[in-house]
Amino acid sequence: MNDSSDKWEAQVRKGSLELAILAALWKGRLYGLEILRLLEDGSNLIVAEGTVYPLLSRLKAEGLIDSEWVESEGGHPRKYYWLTKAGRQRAAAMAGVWAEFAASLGALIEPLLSGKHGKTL
Amino acid sequence: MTGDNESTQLMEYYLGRLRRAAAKLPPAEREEIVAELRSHILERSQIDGVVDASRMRETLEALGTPEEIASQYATNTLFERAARSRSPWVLFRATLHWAMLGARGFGIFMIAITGYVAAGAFFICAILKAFFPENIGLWYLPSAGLFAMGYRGATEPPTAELLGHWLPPVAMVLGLLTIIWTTHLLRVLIRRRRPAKPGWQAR
Repeated sequence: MNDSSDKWEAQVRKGSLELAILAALWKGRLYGLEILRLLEDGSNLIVAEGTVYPLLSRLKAEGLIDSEWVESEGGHPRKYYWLTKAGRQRAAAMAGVWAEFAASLGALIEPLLSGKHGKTL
Repeated sequence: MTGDNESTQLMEYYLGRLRRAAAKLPPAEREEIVAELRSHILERSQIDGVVDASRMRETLEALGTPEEIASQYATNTLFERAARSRSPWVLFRATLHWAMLGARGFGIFMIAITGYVAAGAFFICAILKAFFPENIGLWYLPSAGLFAMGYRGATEPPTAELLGHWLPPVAMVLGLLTIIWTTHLLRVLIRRRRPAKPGWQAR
């Protein structure tokens, strides 16, 4: 991979991270590290793990998620997040946009992936 | 447990850097950020319930630098404040920050500069009218077919000055309107910086 495609990949990741976090919270409340682990399992979305926390803070400021500190048996408290009503609406809307986008782009790039050679000029 | 002391030092060093880098944030917010990352680091660095020094190093590495994290929080806070603010200063600072993030931000920063400089020029005209009553005015320039406010030397071709003693109040009002209009425009642009925010209405 060269420099500019690296940059492109980083932008795609960054752009989808917000949806990924909202999607991770769809089923219920989680704390930061649980969200991170979900994102790691499902995808290669995370570049620096530290970016998740400022993003959570922004989503909270936008009223899409809310949070609460909960004591844990391990001794250190954890900050749990969950979707607000506005967050659920936004997550669903974003998922719709994303699915539509992915479907049309998927059809377009299908020949690139199937290994058939196009005409080269 | 041998690594315990070393891990604690590593973590406290990291969190200390984070605290310093986030010095401009409100203290309560800063301490909450530190607490959240401390919780992350401790849990991430454990092997079978015990904090491990080499795991701690990996954890801190994976987080990225404290300065990066702090700057992302600061960007959030700055734009949050700016989107709600009517203060030219807060909005201008957000625009300045935006200018450093990309070409679009830079363009908007230029709009901000132009607007506030123009407003400043109106105020300066209003003040200088008292000192150079013959040279400061609203001039009609027939050759160009436009109106211009500012300083005009005695050697330049004579032309009609249109405001006379009305210039200071008129220039003051124009200056104020330019500030208000520029500030309003910046606020609208900053709000449009991100997609619609349903949460704001709900609050």
